[in-house]
Formats: sequence, C-alpha cells, structure tokens
Amino acid sequence: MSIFKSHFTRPRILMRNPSACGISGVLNMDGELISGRKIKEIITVMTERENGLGAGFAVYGAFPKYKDDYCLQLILEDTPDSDPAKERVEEFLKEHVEISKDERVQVRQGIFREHPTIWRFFINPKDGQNPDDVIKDIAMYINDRIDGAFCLSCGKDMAVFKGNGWSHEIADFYEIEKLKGYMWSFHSRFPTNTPGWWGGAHPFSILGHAIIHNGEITSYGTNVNYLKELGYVCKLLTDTEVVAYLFDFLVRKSGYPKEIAYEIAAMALSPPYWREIERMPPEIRKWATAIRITHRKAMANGPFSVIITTDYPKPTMIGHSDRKKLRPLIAAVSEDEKTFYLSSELNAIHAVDDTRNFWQPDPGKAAIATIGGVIKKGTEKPFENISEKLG
Amino acid sequence: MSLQEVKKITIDAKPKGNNLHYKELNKQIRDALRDGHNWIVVENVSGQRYIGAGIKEKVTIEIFGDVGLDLGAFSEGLTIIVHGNSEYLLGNTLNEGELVVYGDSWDITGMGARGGRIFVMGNGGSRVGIHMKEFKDKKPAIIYGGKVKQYCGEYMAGGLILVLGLNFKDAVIDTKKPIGRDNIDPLKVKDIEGEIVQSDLGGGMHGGAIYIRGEVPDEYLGVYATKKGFTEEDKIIITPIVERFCELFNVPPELVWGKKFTKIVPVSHRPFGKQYVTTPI
Amino acid sequence: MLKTVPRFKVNIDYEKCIKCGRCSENCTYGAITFDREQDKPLVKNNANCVSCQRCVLFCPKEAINISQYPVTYAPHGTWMPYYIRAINEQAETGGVLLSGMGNDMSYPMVFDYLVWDACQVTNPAIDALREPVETRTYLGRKSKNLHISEIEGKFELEDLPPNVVLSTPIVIGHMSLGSISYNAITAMYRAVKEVGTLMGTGEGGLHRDHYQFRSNLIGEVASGRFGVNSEYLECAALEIKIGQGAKPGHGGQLPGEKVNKLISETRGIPLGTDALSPNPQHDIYSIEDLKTLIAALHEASEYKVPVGVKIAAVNNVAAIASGIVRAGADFITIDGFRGGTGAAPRVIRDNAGIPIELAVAAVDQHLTEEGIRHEVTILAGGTLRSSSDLIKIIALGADVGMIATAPLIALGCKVCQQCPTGKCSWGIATSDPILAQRVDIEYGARRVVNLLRAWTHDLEEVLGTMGIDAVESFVGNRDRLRYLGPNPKEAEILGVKHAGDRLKLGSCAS
Repeated sequence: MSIFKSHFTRPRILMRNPSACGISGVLNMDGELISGRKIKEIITVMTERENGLGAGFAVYGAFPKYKDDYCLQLILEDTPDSDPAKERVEEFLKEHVEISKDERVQVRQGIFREHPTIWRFFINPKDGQNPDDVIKDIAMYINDRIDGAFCLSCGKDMAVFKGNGWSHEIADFYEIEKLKGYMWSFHSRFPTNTPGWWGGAHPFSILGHAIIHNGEITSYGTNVNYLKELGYVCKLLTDTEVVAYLFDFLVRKSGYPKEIAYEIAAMALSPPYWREIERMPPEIRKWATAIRITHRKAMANGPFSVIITTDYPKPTMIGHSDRKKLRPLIAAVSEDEKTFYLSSELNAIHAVDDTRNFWQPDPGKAAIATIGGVIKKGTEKPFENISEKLG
Repeated sequence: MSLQEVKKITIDAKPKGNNLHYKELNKQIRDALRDGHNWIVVENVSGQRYIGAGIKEKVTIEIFGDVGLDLGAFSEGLTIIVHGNSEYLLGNTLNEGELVVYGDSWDITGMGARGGRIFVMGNGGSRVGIHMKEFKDKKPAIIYGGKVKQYCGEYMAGGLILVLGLNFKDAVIDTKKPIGRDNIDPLKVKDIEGEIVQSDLGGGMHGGAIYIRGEVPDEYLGVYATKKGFTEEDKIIITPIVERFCELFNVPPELVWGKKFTKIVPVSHRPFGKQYVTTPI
Repeated sequence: MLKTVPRFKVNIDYEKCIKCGRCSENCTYGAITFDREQDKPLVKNNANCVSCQRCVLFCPKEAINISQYPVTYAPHGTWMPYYIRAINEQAETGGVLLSGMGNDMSYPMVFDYLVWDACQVTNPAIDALREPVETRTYLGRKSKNLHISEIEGKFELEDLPPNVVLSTPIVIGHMSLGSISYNAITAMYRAVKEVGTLMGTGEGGLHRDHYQFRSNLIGEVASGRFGVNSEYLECAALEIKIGQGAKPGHGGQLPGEKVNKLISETRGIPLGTDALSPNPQHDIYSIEDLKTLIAALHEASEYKVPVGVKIAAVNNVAAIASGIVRAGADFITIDGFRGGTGAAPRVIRDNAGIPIELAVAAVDQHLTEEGIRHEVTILAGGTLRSSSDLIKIIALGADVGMIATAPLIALGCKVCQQCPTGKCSWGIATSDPILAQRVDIEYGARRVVNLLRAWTHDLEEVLGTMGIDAVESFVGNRDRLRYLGPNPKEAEILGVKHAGDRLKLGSCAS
C-alpha cells in the first residue's frame, strides 16, 4: 500500500484536524428537485475559503427508485494482504440487512491521479429492532472495525459525496451535474494541521443527517465523553462529527416530540447565557434551564457555523453559529419564496439568485427551514415560535 | 484649492462571465491609479476581497455588486462607494477616507479603525467598531442606518458609533436597479420596529462614544459602559455626521432627529485597572 | 528524657526590640515569654516553636526572625532528621503520632506534570474581561434526558431533580466547628454566602447562629451523627461522609477537653465528653446499605436537596464511585490523599490513598464508559493549591473543585500542622473562644471572598484563552491537557496525551 493511498481511509496516527472553511446549503421548500449544475456555481465561488484539501456535498432526493432503502455510500480502499474491502463489507452486511441493490458510484476519471472506489448499497435491516439504530450501529462498526472501508453516509434517499481536493474537482469527480435533489449542502475545506483524508472532508453524516462546519469545537473532549456515554463512537479524527452525533441524539434518539426537537437541539448545542435565561419569562426559563443543565455536555463551544441538513422527521435545513458569533453565516429566501439558502458569504447565494430577502441570523440562534417554509429566521427570541405549545 | 479634473475608468470584475480573482482586480485598480484615474468604477463584483486595501491616494472607487471581506482595509484617504452589500471586516484598520455601503455589512466593521468614516445604509452584525481608537484630530466614525448585533463598540478606545434604526426596505424606488442616493425615496424611509442593538453594547469600552437612536435597555450595556444624557453639545458633535448620512442616503434629517438619541460612554479610561495585581510572591 | 534538637530557633534582635511584649502575648506555644525582671521578651524554649510566624508578623519593629535550628545532622540519605525525630517521639511516649493539615511528604505532584492548551489561529481566544465566560455550575443529579409529556396539545416538562446553583465551580470543603473556631467558620460561611457557593459543615453539626447560612451549606452526615437534627436536614445539600483523604478508613475523635459549651451545644453532647466518630458508618457495611442511607436522607429531606457521598481517593476509587452513583447519590465528593485534617495519625495521613489527579481521571473515565457520568456531579479536592490546580482538576473530570487549606491560609494559617493541639496562634484551629477572637470575621470573610473571586477570574481568563465560554464545556475535556512528566503510564491513566505527541490516546480524543 502506498503512503499516498493511505489518506483514502482513516490514517492511524494523525491527530484531530481543525478546519476553517466555506459552507453553503440550498433547500427547495416545495420539495422540487434542483440540478447539480446550479449547485456547482455556488460551490465554486468561495474558493478563498478553501485550500484544496477537502470538499464535499450532501444531496437529498437523489434516489427516488430506492427511497425506502437506506443508502450506504462507502469509500473503499483495498489492502493487499486481505480480501477486498468491498467483500468484507458485503459479508458483514449480509449478516444484518437485506441488500436491495449495490453499485459502483460513477466517477469521472482523470481528475485525481489516484482515488478510492466509491460504492453504494441500498439496504434495509432484517427485522425487529429500531431500523435507524441498526443502521447507525452498522455505519459505526464499519468505520471503527473494517479496515479499508469508510462510510460516507447511510440515510434514505440521500448521500454524501466528498474527498480530498478542491471543491470544483470534487464536483467534477462525482459528476455533480448529473445529480438532482431538493436539498443540498456543500463544503469547501481549509484544514490546518495535517493533510486531509477522504473521510475527513465534510459533510459528516449519520442516518439522514449531514453536517457541514466552519470552525473548531473547543469542547471536543467533553462532547466526545458525552457521546461515548450515549453509545456513539467518535473515530473520524475531526471535531465536526460530534455535532452530527449530538444532533442525531437530540432530535431522534432522545425521542423528544418532533414539534420541538429542533428547538431543544439548537438550544442544547448553543444555549443562551445564564444571564439571558434569568431574563426569560418563567415558563420559557424553565425549559431553557432544564435543557442547559441536562445536556450541558452537548454544548458546542468555540467558533463555529454549521449547516445541518436532515430528513428527520421531515426534510429540514438548519443554520447555526456559535453564541459568540465568531464565524459567518447568512440566510436568504428567494424572491418567489420557494428556495431557502444558507452560506458563509452572501456572494455565494447571489451567484445563483439575486434575492434581496437575506439576513444574518443572530449569534447562537438557529435559522430553520423545512418543506413548506421557513420555521425560524434565527432572529427571534428563544422558543418564540413554539411558546404556545409549552405548558 | 482647485477642483480636480475627473478621470473616470470602468473595470469589469466578471469579464466573459468569469469572476476576476481579487489579486487581478486590485492590480487593475492600482494600474488605473498609476494611469492618473481618480474615479474607478468596478462592475459585476461578486465577493472579491481586499478591494482598495492599503491604497493611499485620495480617489474614488465606485463598486457595483457585493464585495468580499476587508474592503478598504488599511487604506488612507480613499472614498469607496458600494452599490451592494459588504461581507465582514469592512474598513479593517481604516486610517482615513470615507466608505459608503448601500446595503448591509455584517461583523467586525471598522475593527481598530484609526480614522475615516464608514457609512452603512442597512444592518450590521456583531462587533461593529471593535477597538476603534482616536488620536488628536483623527477620530473615526461608523454610522449604521439600520440595526446592529451584539458587542457593538467592544473595547472601543475612541471615535464615534451611530446606530440610527432606519428601515430602507420599502424606500428603494426601483428594486431592479443598484441602490444609490437617487434610487431612495426619502418619504418611505421608516423607523425599524423593535430593538436596534443587542447585548454587550460597548463592553469594556474605555474611550469614544456610542449614540443609539432611541432607547437602550440597561441589560444590553456591556461591562464598564454606561448611559449618559444626550446634550446639545452631543448634538453639535454628531450633526455633521448625521447630515452627511442624510445626504448620502437621501434621508430627511428631521426623520433622524425625530427620535431621541441615547449616549453610551465608558465608565473609566482604565476599566480593569484593579483586576490585576503585581505584588511579588 | 532523651532530648532531640529543636526544629526552629527564635532570634530576637534586642537592638530593634521595643519590649512591647506583643510577641510573647501572641505566642501560644510557649516559645517566647516576657520576663518582667529583665523587662524584655525572652526565648523560653526553642523546642516549642512551630514556626507559626505569629511573633514575626506581630512585632512592630521587625525584630524577630525564625531560622532552622543551626545544627547539622550527620549527613545520611536514609536516616533523615524526620525519621530520627519520629522514632524519638514514639520511643518516649509509646503513642501514635498525630498531625494536622495534609500529607507533608514530598511525593511527586501530578498537577505539576500537566500543562494546558491555548487558542492559536484556528480558534480565537475569548476576551474574558469583556465577553461572558460562564462559571455557573449546578450541583446535583441530572436526568439522562428531559422528561416531556403532551397534555391537551401542550408539552409539559417534568421538574428536574434538585440541584444547587453555584456561581463558581469552587466550594469550600468540610471543616467542623470544633476542629476550627467559631470565628473562622463564620468568616468562611459568610464568604460562601456572598460569593454564591457552598461550604461543608464537617461532621460537627450546625450551631444555631449558623442556621442563616444553610442555603450555602452542605450538611455532612458522618459516622458520629453529631448535630444531625431536623434543622440540619434543611441544608442546601446533604453529604454522607464515608472517608476523608487525610485518613481513609479512619474516623476521628474530638477530645473532651475541647468540648466546651459552644461545641457541646452544637454537637448535642455533654460538656467535656469525647466526641467519637467511628471508623465506619455502622449502618453502612456494604453498598446496598449505602443505598439505604441515601434513600433515608432523600426521604427525610423530602427530596428537596441533593444527597451526596464523600469518599477518600483509594485504589479502587473508580469502581466505588460507580457503585455510589448506582446507589442513588446525586453527587460524589472525592478527597485526595493530600487532603487536610484537624487531626490524623501521621502514618495514615502520609501513606494511605492515591493522588486526587489520578483518582478523578479514573472516576471520570470509568463513569463515562459506564454511561452514567453526566448524571452526577463530581466534587474533588485534597490539595488544590492554586487556581491552576483547580483548572487542571476540572479538565481531568471534576465538575467542582473543593478547597479547604487555601481559605484557611486566607484567614492567616501558615500550615504549621499544629491543629490537633488546639493552640492555633492564628485563632483558626482551636475551640478556645479567646484565641478565636484573633480571626476578625468581617476581614476574614472579605479575604476568603477575594480568594474565591480571584480564582474564578483566573479560571475565566484561562477558559477564554482556550476559546471556551462556559465551564461545563471544560469538565473532563482532557483533550486540552498535555502531560509533561517522567512517566508515560501516568499519562495513560490520566487519559492525557504527552506534550508534543501527535499520537492519539484512547480516551482523550478518540
């Protein structure tokens, strides 16, 4: 195995890799499909925010034919002294799931001198148990235990495409113009300490959630401990994965009511200061205090702006910056009010849509849009839009 | 002083549909300066950074489109007019000159500015005017027509910040055209409803003054910042800036003066003097 | 009697001395007396001097100094003076040597092998002076999840288990009235009330005068059960004392001569009787018995306050802590082997237990692996000498640091270790009401408040330099520590990477 190749799957002796990057997301709030051709224009405009060491995108609505199956999209790298990684993964999968279909992901040749194999399986758990939990555990098992295989994503009707390169290279490599989806997020990366590796690019994805992140999580050690308690294994050498798992825990695994789960998750990740909580009306204060105390180790500290895309419980895009507001984030809605955008910089949005309906969400507050419209602009008071639902 | 002859040139920042890299764009601007142009129009700007950075010549750069971060950073005497929006760090360490944005400009505007004036029609983000300073006759000023977010004027050491709380949303006459003075209907400029500043206003400030048009809740004051009565003297100080703002953005001055300003000043020039001790141990 | 040479020598410079007599008035140990005939203070007995520095600091003319007694022991790398003196003492008396304060042997200090991280480029440091860095901490049990139910279209949130709000993650550890004086304890109670944190009552009950501080007190329920009445159960939190870092496995005894009126009222025992704290709690012979006592206290206090358990850091501390959580404790207090005491057998104080740094790291990692760490609050103490030790113990996994010697030093203590004698010249470790007057309650409280606030400022500044704006994001964040000591095994147990190491260690950043 060449040294060069080792960056396809997780390197064994590298440290966690903070990065500062460009992020964007697009959601068609009517659920109509957006062509990858349009997305490429946005992706490639913020080149100043990347250094060619990683880029990627998530697309939702990509597999209408298999939309009820979990799409397990993998990076595979064969090591000479064992069975091909694909066979090892397949053998493992057959024990636990039904495979509806599997295929090699088409990639454009000639962009990278060397690249790993990208493969996808459409699968469903055999029976019993919570299928989401089974798939989550399968993805974590592959990343943790199966050498030469790395799970890019494992959600339904969605997939993550990413790798080591400039954003335009990754877009071309995965032939983005052939893809269509109603929701996209994309990321160009500027990792700082070590060379990136294919799995280390964003988005980070678990089940139907995909996270892209600009910044650094200074609470990483504390968050990892919390996730370990909750049964999540952090193995990807980057701080961003903790946000993905925390989000999965808070909106799905916790079983919180779907109507308020995003609010709880957003507040846990970036809670109001205590002094703000003290000033809240008593019924809201009670919730804010309880969330902050109970999920105190879920708080993501340090500079960040993140875009979270998820299909749970329905397709939703969330933009969120840290409460000290140390990373940029702009939100916008198209003039026809069909499309919701999030981006590090306004010019990326204006590259495809000259809408005048744009705003900066408040520090530490989430902007949330879903199929049907914008739920929160991120400029409201905490729980303002759901306060009537709280007892 | 004789009126300077206007020598205008137009640069396309997106020739043949491709965005110029900022390095190339700034080179073209500098070349134009060298050729004696004193009014440089840049069209189709899309997020290019550092435009006009470090330029000392007292010339005008007029920009159409959204500029990237660090517009006019370190410059000394430039006039920059943006018919569009600006990313963060507008006028970073500005020394002198006038930066005008007919749109929004978000975080960290005028960081460490040592002189000059920054006029933004719309809204700002966090840390507007952070660590501005003044020395003798060099007094920077930042004026936002709209509202700003937290940490406005954080550890400000001098200069002025004005936040006016005006809403231009319905005042743009032709939304298809770039926004400029002529495209603003003065009668449709309105007051923003609700709060126009956020928490930690003037946190740790130890010089200068912040003028907020309207009331400021006490809990928004940052550490060692305090409210002080707005006097006639204050009005005399801010009048030239307000008048210039009104001229640039076609706002009736009586609209601005129609609401009382709140003045925020430092409690002390050495706010954290007692926090540290130097006794040998 | 076979004599040994004194440890210290008191030197009075009679050229400077104005014969005011303050030194002799202040000396409680009988080292200096005032000679009426010669009309000047005299060094009566150097062997009695403990270097409490009282005379030095009260001499208005800087006429007194204390030096080590100028005699050279025959050099020997093994039979050092300490051992010779100890043998002499035991040979003469046949008794167990008692001492006060914490372990005074020079074991390596793990804290001194740790350094922490700071922001450079990839994340901005936070200016803690101007922007919020939050130190508020909640002491008590946390639910695994929020309990939300839907009632008539509205979401109802179940109340959280009881928690006490601390303005800073520092509490003052348990010291009882009797082991320290009325004035000393009152000064510290006032200080924690002003700062908004807690102090432990120790095992000696609560004097009526101190009921007003109950919302800032952790009421200790120790094996002696002194003063545990219904009023006492209304403290902000209750804590079952299993062990103390200075004397794990050992109880205590307040000798009858110290049980004066004040102490007898507070502890609820007759004047002049010995106040005995048995080694074990005789209603706890196993973990299920602990569960019973925790439940009894929950019940008796109507589930209004958190109930915790204090243990000494011993070999198996991680597994014990896990059992304590499962037995229903809301918080665990771990006292390291350097922790202080009013009196303990030297042989135990100086040898039993393990350092708090290793204990906390082991407990935090163990409870994390068991998935129960975030449900409890961990308090840890036993030599937090400075704010840097506090910061390190939090990163190693404690929610709250516990200090006791440090606030005593703030009140004047010079760590001369004479606490069991009751002669404390600073009026701290004594039950003598006259000596107690030497602690000015008002001024003492001010100094303790200053200390707590200064350490809190230090913590805020350091968190700021690490880009962390709330202390809960630093608890157990071993990723931000690095090890700089001689023993890689130690780093492994701590779960901390070696400085400069790019290799990842199991738990610090998987």
